[in-house]
Amino acid sequence: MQKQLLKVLSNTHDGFFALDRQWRYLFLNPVAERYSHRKELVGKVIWEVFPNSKKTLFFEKYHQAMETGEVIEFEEHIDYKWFDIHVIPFDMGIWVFYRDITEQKLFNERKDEFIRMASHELKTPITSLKLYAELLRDLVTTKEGYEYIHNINHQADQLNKIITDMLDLSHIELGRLSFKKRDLDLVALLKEVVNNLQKTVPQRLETHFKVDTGLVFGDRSRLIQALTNLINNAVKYSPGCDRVIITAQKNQENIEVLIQDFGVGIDPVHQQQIFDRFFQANSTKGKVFPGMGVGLYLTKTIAIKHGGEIKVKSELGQGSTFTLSLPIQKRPTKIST
Amino acid sequence: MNESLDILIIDDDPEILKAITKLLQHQGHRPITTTAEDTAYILELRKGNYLPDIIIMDILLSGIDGRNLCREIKNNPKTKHIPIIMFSAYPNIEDSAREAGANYFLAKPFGGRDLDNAIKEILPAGQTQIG
Repeated sequence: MQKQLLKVLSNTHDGFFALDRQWRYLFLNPVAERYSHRKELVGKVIWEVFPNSKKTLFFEKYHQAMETGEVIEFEEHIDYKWFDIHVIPFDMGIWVFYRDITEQKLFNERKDEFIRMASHELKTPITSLKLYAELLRDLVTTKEGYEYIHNINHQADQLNKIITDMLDLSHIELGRLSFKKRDLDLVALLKEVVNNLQKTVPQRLETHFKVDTGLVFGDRSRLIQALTNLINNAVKYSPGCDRVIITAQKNQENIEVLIQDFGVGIDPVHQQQIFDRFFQANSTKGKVFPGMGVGLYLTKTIAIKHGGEIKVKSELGQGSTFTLSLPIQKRPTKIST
Repeated sequence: MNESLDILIIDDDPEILKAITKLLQHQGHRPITTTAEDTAYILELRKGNYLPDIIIMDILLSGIDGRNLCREIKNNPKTKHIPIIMFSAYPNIEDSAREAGANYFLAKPFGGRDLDNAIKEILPAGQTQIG
């Protein structure tokens, strides 16, 4: 069995080697030998063969795995190549698996650049659309005409939201989603979001503010994005219902925003997946809900980046309650909304 | 807006230039458009011979960074008083636009009302034409 396993490891496309507790090579597969540009490494101490590695993440993470006994995963670049590395401790030392992800990294960079350029190119004609819609406003005289202009504007905004989500998604993948944090009042921000959305949604947005203020350290536009996503989701998945209940409350060291709808609800088997990228609870009782399945993923990412979390409670046919929870800022510097 | 303003719009996209021009004309202003490559108005601006009430400009222009032009206008004693509205499809560029001296930043896509609000904001009530 052991021989068979070693044979498999020797023929994998990933690099693999084992080190003992004195940092001596126990085993290297051919890929690991090729990447090391050395031969006959078994028995030699890794830090003597590669003294420059002492300044890299390799040194830090291998030590961490050896000392804590925990599996460590990390990415690091060396000699113009990027590697995805898994370090697995065992009784004699550590196993190290690594995969060359340079191509993948480059592809993601190019993809991000493409999406960035495409979104720029798309935003320009949307601007023209919105400006001309404004010009039309003074030319039309009928109620129907105003409604059509409103629809043009609304659809242009929807298109912009899709582009922005796509861009954010790409930035998350590269760890480049930007946050400009400062002290702000989440309750005041929630009131602002509710007031703005109430003009555009058919359901009544019923608010219960159990706290007057909720100071958090956050990015205003990202938190508006998260709250808007959650409320719009509640509206979208409760067609024909008359209200969505929005509650703000304190819970120990956190401020919580609960958004409750009485709509289609989420199947228990999907409740964990709904925060995954591209997951779409697409069809419930034959009704199709449009969308890319990125809203909740972005919202969850925003919550996590603020040291918070998002949870859901739901029952099929009864509705869902999403809870966004963010830590209360204890030592505010400057308060604003 | 009740008062009629001389507004210089600098962008390379002919569609945006046309749309903004039509809207501003409709609101009773006197817009003049130029691309960054057609430098006649920009040269006159640099000399202080042409002084619009407001400048509206894109940040990404061919051959020149709009922020450098903005800085130049704000450092020139003859033109530094002119309020500048900068716009871009990259919302995270706002800080650097303001650092360059922009009085207002508009993220694309913006509509007529956004533009109107921007103009109102940089020209406080009671302020008349500057140029």
